Amino acid sequence: MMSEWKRVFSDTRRLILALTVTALCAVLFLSSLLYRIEPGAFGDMLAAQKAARTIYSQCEDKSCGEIIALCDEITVKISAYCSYINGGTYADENGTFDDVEAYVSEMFPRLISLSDDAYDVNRSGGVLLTAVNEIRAEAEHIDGYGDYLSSIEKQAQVMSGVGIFQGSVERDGFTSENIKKTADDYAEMRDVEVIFANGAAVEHWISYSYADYFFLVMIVLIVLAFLEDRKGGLWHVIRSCKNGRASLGITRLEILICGSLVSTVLIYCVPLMLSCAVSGGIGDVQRPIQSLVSFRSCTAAVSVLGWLVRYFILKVLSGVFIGLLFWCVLGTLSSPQFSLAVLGAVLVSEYALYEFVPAGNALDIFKYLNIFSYIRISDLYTDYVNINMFGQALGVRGVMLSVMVCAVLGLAVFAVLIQAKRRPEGHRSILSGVETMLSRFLDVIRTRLSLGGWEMYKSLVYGGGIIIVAAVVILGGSLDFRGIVPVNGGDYVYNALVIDREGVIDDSFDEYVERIRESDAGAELANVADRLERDADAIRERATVGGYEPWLVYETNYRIYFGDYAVSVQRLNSTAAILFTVFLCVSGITYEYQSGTVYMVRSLKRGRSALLTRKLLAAALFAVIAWASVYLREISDFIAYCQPKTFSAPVQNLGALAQFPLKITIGQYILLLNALRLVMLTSVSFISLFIGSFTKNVLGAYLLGTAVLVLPAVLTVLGLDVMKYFSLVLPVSAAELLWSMGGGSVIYALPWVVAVALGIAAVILTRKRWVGVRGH
Amino acid sequence: MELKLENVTKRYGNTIALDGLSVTFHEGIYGILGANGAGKSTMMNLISDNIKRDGGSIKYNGEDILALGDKFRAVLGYMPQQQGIYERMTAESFISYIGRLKGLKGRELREQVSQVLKLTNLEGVRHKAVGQFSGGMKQRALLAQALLGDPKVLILDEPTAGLDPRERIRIREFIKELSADRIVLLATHIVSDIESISDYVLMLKKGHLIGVDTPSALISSLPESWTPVSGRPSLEDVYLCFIGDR
Repeated sequence: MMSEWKRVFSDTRRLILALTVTALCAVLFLSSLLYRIEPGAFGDMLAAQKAARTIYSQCEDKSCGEIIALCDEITVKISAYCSYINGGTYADENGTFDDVEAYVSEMFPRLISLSDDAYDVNRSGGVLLTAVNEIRAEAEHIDGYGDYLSSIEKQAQVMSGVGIFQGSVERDGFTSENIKKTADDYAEMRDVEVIFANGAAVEHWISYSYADYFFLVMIVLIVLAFLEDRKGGLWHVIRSCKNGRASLGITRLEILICGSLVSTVLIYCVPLMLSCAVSGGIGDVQRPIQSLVSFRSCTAAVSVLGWLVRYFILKVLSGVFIGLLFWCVLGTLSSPQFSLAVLGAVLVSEYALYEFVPAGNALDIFKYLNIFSYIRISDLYTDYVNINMFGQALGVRGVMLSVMVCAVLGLAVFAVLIQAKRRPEGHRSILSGVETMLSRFLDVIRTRLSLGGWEMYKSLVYGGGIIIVAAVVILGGSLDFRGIVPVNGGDYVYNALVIDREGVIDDSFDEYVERIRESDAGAELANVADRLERDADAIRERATVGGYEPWLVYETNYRIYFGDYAVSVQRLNSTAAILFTVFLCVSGITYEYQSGTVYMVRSLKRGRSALLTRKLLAAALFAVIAWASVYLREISDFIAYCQPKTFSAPVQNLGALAQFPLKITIGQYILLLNALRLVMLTSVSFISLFIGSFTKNVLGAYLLGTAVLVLPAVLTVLGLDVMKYFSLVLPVSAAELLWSMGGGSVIYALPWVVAVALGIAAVILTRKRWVGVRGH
Repeated sequence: MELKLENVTKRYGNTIALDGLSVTFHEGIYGILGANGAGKSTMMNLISDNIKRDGGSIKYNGEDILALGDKFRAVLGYMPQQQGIYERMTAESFISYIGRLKGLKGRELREQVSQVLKLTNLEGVRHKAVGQFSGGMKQRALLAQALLGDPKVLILDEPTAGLDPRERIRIREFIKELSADRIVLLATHIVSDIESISDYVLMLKKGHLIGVDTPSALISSLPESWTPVSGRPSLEDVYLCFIGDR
């Protein structure tokens, strides 16, 4: 049976996938520690963590109150420094600015080294403030833990005494049981002595939820390896071998246990080690786990080390449990294609139950005895929940763990039995009947599809595009659209007045300024009114020369969304849009090559030009989906955040766009920006289709598309500036180029011309490859 | 109706796959015999315009097929040698999709789909994924798609490979019925299929056409010294004598 171990663990493709998943997990973990993905962000994170370690060392002998005061003092100093660098004034309540600078220089030298660029200071300062806030939150937690326990006890007493609950004691046994059990559980925590220590490593690691999904992928990879013999038609042969039944089942069980162990090490231990390396260790491992903020609600009396050991054991066990569940479900189905469809359906329905059934609901048993609850097993320790089991309040942790142990034993026996008893042929399957019924229903639709409809259907259903669309929509939701907002305390009043009075600069504006002057708010407001008037006069003058209507516009909002403050975020979002488009479009032609149908299809009347036109249209439609998932969100976020009143203002009223070559309004500018993005993404979709036509399998197409179109964009985002000339990141983002045209130069339009030319060339060459006669 | 190949040449690097092939097809079944690499599939791929010819012309009713473009493909039914198929489609979806690519639609499409599924005995599994089919069933699905749209030129590369004897005979007879008003080019290694249904047989050897005639004329052209392999002379003997190196 060594050969089965070798087959599963030495398969090159599986190894590459497993290592890719591990690397992706580690990289995403590190990126989750970053404030934002842009050049300098990693340095900010390391500097902030170093500063946090220094603060922790300063806090060793301090009380929680002193730690909180220290954090507050540091926060004030960092904010003051950032504000000053942004052109604000310094109010010297806590000493001179030189004192602040000296302090920052000693504690946070990176801020000083970045002081030439306000943007970098804002970004780095923000990361520092977050780290300081985390330390403060931990100190607050330690300080208030005793009060927290007392408050729960009091709450239980009050609730037991209140009429409605007294009444419900008779009507609803669970409510009173729940109150009693909660009070009892937390009463046992009274003797726990929480200790302040560096908890950042575990806190950051435990909040990284993507690891759970990577773990799921690893387990699915292992289980699919068990079903490979079915797809390859080897099932009959293997069953006829001496060790091809129960013995093989037991070996596969061992492989699953070992695979779960290895996956746990790769997916959880690697990020934990990275987290410890970044945050400077794990602190005192003997301190109670309740010392960490996330474990405030935990009622298990265990140390940090004890919890980590327990967590890893449970993780291995949950991997085995989930793997067995998949193995049993898929093992009872004969059709590999249908098996995968069932796997998808099971995961989707389980996730829906996990996500949407509220805790405390009568159906919450489905939420907790759920694959995703077992995947996200850390919640068992960070959340305190009792579930209603026939009127009894039972701790969800105890129930879930008991069920898991029993289920692992039962499923293990069942899995081995399937391996031993299940025959490849000759059995009736209820699910195969379902499969036929479903196919019959879908055939009614499919036989009525137009050629264009067929191309969409093939891409979405057979090519797995629907999963990519779902991923695109979900991942698009995690994008940020705002650049770094400057810390500019000194301009606060001025900015507030501009936002208040945005609009046409006419006589009513002058009256508005006069009203400010006449108010009783003192000289400072009068100065701001003077500044407002000066700026308005400058805008009026520019408008008279330029021949447009003068408007007062709060420019910062446009700068943080589309202008100089948004360069990094625009590049990152553009990379995301390119990635989405490539993944949706690159396999459009490859699918025919992979299925070996090229010759057959090309010999048909509409198999050349007509088919290619439909493929191009489908690609363009996917480009629209990619655009919408990124840029429609940007528009919505912009409108929600800024509530703009200046869409009708001529765009030249924005100082940075004073020389913009087109006489359009700000609203039209944003429309133009998005139209350009859409055209560019359509170009990317055509280029992707062309690139995909060079490969014979879909995986190869994804890899090639990523290497040619996504990688240069990623390198640009990571700070390798020269790559912007070799990627489509700037034309797709469009914001940076359009903003640069505000100086009056139209040379910045060149990248769009090049991108469109590339798109047209891609269409011509794809047509030549597909429609023209090819030698081989 | 006439399909004429004149001096058609195709090279793969230094290897000559077809060397100045000239042949004219009219209505009827043309069996194509040749060893592996003789140029059978190359000839079919040239007629279906899937590979580029290096010389010569292919004319359908006097017009070059490249100039005719989709007008020629509208009368073409092609069943390739490889079992390239959309494995995740059901038989009905697969045939419908190909029907769309042949320009069929609506009721006509659905009627023809049902008709060819019935002819190829796939009606009972029309809602099953083609990927779950046996080799023979896939072969029939590929034949079914070639028959859609009433093609005037039918190119069948190994249509009976992998079929059981009963199915083979049934398909063979069906092809025979089709040949009345169309050109059928049939390449196969199953010599008995060609012998029983072909009106003419083309013999290819290393890219050259070494003979074209009716099966009976070819059999009678065997040298007197030839000893038949199975008692009486057959097309297998013709193959072994002229194409094989016996």
